[in-house]
Amino acid sequence: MLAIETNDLTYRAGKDFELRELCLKVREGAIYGFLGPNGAGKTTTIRLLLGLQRANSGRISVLGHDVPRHVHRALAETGYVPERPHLYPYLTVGEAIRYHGAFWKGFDHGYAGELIEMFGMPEHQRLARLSKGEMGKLHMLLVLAQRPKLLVLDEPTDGLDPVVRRDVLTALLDFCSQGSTTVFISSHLVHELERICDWVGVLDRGRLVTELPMHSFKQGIKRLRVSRAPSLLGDTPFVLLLREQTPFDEIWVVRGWQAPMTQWFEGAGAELKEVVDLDLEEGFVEMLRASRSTSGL
Amino acid sequence: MFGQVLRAQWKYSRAAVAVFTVLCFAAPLATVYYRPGEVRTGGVPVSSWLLGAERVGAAIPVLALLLGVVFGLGAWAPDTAGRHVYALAMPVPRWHYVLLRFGAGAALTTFPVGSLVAGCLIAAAAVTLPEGVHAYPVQLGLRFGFAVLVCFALIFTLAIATRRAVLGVLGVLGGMVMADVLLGAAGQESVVTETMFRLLTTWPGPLSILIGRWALFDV
Amino acid sequence: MSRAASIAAAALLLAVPLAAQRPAANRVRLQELLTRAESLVAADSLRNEGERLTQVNRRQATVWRGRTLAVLLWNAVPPAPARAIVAGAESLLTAFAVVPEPVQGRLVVVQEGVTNRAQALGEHGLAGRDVAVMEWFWSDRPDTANAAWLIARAATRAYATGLAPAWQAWLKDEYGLVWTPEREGLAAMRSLAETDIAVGQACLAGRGRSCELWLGIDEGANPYAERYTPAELRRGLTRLSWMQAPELAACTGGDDVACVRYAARERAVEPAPAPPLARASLVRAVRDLFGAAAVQAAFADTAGPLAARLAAAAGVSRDSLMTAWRGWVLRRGRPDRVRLGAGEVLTSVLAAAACLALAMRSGRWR
Repeated sequence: MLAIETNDLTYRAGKDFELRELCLKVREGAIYGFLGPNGAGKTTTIRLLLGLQRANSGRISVLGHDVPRHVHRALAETGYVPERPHLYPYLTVGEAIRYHGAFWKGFDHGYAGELIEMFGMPEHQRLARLSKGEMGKLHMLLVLAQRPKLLVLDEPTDGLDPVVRRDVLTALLDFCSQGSTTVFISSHLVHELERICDWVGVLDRGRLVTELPMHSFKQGIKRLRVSRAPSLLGDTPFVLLLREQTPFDEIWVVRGWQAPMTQWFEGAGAELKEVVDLDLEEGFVEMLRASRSTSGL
Repeated sequence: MFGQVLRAQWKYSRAAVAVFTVLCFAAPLATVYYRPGEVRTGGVPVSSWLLGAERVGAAIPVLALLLGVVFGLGAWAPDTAGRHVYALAMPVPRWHYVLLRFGAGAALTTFPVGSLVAGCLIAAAAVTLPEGVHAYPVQLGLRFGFAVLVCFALIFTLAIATRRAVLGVLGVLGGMVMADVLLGAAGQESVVTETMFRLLTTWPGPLSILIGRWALFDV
Repeated sequence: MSRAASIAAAALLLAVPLAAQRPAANRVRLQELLTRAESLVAADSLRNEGERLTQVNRRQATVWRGRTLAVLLWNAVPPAPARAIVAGAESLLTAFAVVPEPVQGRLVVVQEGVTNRAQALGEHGLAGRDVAVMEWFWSDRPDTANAAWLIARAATRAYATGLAPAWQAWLKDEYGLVWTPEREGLAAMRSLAETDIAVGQACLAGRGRSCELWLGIDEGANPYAERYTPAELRRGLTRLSWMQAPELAACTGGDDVACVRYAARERAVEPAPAPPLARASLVRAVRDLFGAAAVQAAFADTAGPLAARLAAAAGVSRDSLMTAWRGWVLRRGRPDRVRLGAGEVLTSVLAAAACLALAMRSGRWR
């Protein structure tokens, strides 16, 4: 069962930005990391999923509800932390919690109280006077206290110091461990998602470049230094993402690499000189480069 | 749900509520004490009451309009500041949310309207009117209340309108003015804006409640 | 030979323009020009004369008769508007009902500027009638309603010249005939409500004989002492302080008796504090409440204070008359309702509901 599914989702804004035929599939219970550079369309995608904006074409289903027709039913089971704070600054922390809780039926005021203590939130402080970190914690507190089936987090730790970031992510992981909540979290901080996500989707310039389990993403991307490689390769046991010429060798970026694949080079008459492990961030960057070069960008 | 929306709206607008409550309470009393010099010298103050009722009465629909503008804009101001993200992410049908906001804003206008009624009742009780001259505190209060409701609803709707809709309204207004300018240049009588104004303010026009008789003391 | 022929040809060629400039031909041409000029001048004179005659003709009169009225209007007024004007004037007079029809029948109203008045009156057997002049000029965009009003007013004023001096002095030029009753009613109400004269304010408060004093229809033995306070008189006379009068100087210096004496002698302040508009409203009130015959009877009465004449003609006491007039002014002066009507309530609620429906359908929120 899919918590989030989009089919050929298309959205255009002006001449320069376009989401093209986006087909997302987020399984129930998954912690899905939505990766992409700045301006890729992550926030726009999230806003489309939650009905804050209207797509030009395509179908969106969130927790089995059609968006935007039954968006309020989907929102009743969804906790959303937006990129920019959107709470009313003239309310106090306590008032904001009570206001928020009035709209969600299953809002757990007891759990909210626990989180207030855990985060050390000043209950009588006006939101306008909260620091960025405190505001980030408050947002997380509100959505977790909703006990939602789906959490949609748009760069929830952006701009937060490491201590606050740790607190927020710890609370998130604790919450996820208690049930089968689906988490859809967007970020450009790759190393952060590496710790918590089990699925990753990469968005670049409005297109979904890839969508795969995190372990495949982490382990399978390598940079190879190859010499005497034929120009036409034919079938390869790995996915060749990028092939670049240097003065002496070629640099290949591949996905799905496994150690026994070195034998293929002997059969192809090429020499594999070096295999370099890429961490998630380097892999992400190489994937983007490959994507842009194949699409002619 | 409505309670929380009302509390939040009250917290945002309480300063405006306080100011308008005081103004609306004072306005009818100003009718009675319009020309205090005359009362002090022992002159018969009926003419000053009637004159005061007329002069102050002319200001009361302006007060209603101001109330409508302040509270109508104030109903959406917190959401507008956050670009409506919080409101749109609420798990209620959107027409329901609009209704909640309208109800909260309209509920807050009852404070100044009630204070005007109170002021009118006190002013009417404070004077001894001669035969033929009457006080209309409840009528004035009711007229004020309905005028506030109309102005509030109008500004509330405009505040939530999309940019295209607002441009459309401005375009229509500009078009009327342009039509009058062209008619004037052609030597014809400029009647477009005047006709539209008359349609809106003469019964059954929606703004006819504002162009009524706003006198606390009258025959 | 060829040379001679060339000279001859040249001479001939030169001769043509020279011959054209001969004095005799010039004279003929000049004569032609002069004749043409004279004819143009003559035509212009004719045109001017024609226009003058047209103007004269325009201002010659045509008689138009209504049921009771006879009116002399310029020839320039076309028949249809002229008939409408006369009918309108008679309608106003009928509505006013104070000018008796026999009086109207003895009257002819003449538009100002008519050039052949005597001739027109004579030709139509109107020579013996009383003449009232109407100040109105015909233009390309005539206002027939205005013209009708002016005729009715002229007729009313002509009637008033036959009234007793006391009535004429009291009513001034306002005899109660009005064009816009609602506006005049409001004006009368405002003059009473906004008066700064003590007796006027007391009248508004409904006290005793103050209305008679304000209107100036009481016995009037000493109007300036009874109808004005010294301060009010002084205020009215201060505007004349530029006049070098010892008594006036004494008045402005604080001598109350001097104020009363000076005002009474010089009539520098109106004896009746109420403006003519308010006084005329009494005539209209009596007409409305007690009938036109009461007004005519009052006008015909020449003895006693004006209040007594009006009260006797109306068949009520003086106090009742003043109460009735005061109520009439207050009611007529407020044509708009203060009370909120069901229609206004319904419209307001519907307007608010329509706005709310639009808000719920707003594109931002769908």
